[in-house]
Amino acid sequence: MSPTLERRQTGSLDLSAHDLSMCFERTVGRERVLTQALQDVSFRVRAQEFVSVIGPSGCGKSTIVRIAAGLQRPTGGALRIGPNEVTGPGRETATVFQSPGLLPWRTVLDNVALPLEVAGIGKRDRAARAAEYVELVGLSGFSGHYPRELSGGMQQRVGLARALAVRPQVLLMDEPFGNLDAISRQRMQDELLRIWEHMKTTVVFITHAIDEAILLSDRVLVMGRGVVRAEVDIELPRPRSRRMLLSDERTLELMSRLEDLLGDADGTPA
Amino acid sequence: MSASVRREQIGRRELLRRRLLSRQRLIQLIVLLVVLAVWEAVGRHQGDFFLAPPSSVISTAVDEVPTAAFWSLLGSTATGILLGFVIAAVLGVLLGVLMGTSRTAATILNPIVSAGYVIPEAAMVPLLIVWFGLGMTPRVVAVVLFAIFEIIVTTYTGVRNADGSLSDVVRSFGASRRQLFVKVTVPGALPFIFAGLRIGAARAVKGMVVAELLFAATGIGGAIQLSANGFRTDQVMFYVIIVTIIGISFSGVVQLVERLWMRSWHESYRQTD
Ligand SMILES: Nc1ncnc2c1ncn2[C@@H]1O[C@H](COP(=O)(O)OP(=O)(O)OP(=O)(O)O)[C@@H](O)[C@H]1O
Ligand SMILES: [Mg+2]
Repeated sequence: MSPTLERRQTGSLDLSAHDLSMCFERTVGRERVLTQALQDVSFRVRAQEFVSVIGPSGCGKSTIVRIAAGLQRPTGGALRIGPNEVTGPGRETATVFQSPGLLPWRTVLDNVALPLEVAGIGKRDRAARAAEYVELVGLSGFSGHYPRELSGGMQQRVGLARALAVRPQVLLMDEPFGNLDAISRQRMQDELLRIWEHMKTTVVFITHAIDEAILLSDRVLVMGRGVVRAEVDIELPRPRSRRMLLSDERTLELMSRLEDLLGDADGTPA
Repeated sequence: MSASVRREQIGRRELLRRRLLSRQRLIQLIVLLVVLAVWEAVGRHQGDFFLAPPSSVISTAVDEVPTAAFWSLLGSTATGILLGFVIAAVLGVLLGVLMGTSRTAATILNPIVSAGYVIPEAAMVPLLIVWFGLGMTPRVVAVVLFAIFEIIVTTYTGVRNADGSLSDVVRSFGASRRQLFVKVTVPGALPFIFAGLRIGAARAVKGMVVAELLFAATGIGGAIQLSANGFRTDQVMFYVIIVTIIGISFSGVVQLVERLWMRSWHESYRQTD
């Protein structure tokens, strides 16, 4: 398998959050409910860097992704892609969501071509490019299949191909493998590693799983209740493989460190 | 890679056999025969006046079908149904989409549609006669009134039902409102819209016949009225069957269009009834 990978530069932009705040407001009867999902969050993901964000459920991880994808405006601060503040969905980012979000009436190929169609790329070009990325995620034989004819893991691959086909400067991934069984999950991690080594795009990867974060990332942000609690550099050699990490004692160290940080983040008094 | 894909051709004969000789078809046929047999037995026992059996309905059909009068009745009724249905479909889908996409439109139209949904349309027919006289117009208006509300409501539901997470995904790629509408909302609403059109088609036929019955002298409804006045149950039965055939073939056509359109993706369109 050797699809012509990236000619255009990807991952040339960084992503930075500057005192990012998000407060959801809802009225229930006579009561106004305010949820502070993010509170003055600042961090930076360098160009071509792979950063994971881990944290307990409800700490605001998805909110960061939704703001970065331009689906939501923050109530305070700013999120920048390169020099520009994100004010709406843009062509620099592409997002892989937890549920693959495929259009059930489109074939695999047409699903992957969708963002290209939206961007106004001509029919022949987008078909060729979509095919290239379908092949990249190992689904060539399934181009004409409909989403319901695919396994969960395969559907998630399609979601990944669709995001990659955009050739984004920043790839946002919100627990993309969260719904998969352990084996498919491992396969997808390996696949993502392989693809990322080729494309070197800037990645923000949300996950619950510490081992996943260590395997994939250059750096891990640990979140708790709307704030970034800690940043941990993952100084393991690349290219990485699961096997390699298993035999590296630094992995265990990182694991217990992240485990501790997560415990703190969970709200147990420090 | 996961799962290997193998493709095999299914022979023409096998395809035809599957289509014609399924278990469901057989059951349907048996039920039909039983109903006809019971009807024949009861009809013979009670006599033509009370319930004309299938055999005498058939002989009535043999008498009636070749006449020019019959075809002109059929023509006028069918034209009215078709005209009314097309108007109801176009207007209904447009209004449903409008309500589904504009909050203001929904606020304004909702009470009207809700009222229209529950009003017995038959009660409106005398008014229609007062307003539009006895020509084709009031009958077509009656058909529209009978069919349109189902279509509006199902379309509205379908459009509103557009999957929020799918919209988010497509929006995240920078789709405009128009692209979102064309690529997500409409395909998502189509199954609803077609369901509405199918119900609407059946109701259009009912609307026409009810209007004609109340008019007393036009179309197939009028013929039913006249036959009933002459105590000709066989003729009444015959015309009722004709109406049924119109209704079934009409919603059949809608269903066919639906199948062709969305054959591949929706579960419910894969298996034929
Ligand atoms: N649209 C919304 N309206 C109100 N509150 C919201 C909304 N979206 C998120 N929240 C709240 O903001 C907080 C953070 O939500 P978010 O989805 O970012 O969490 P998360 O870290 O992604 O959690 P998980 O790991 O379970 O996906 C939660 O308390 C949630 O209830
Ligand atoms: Mg989340």
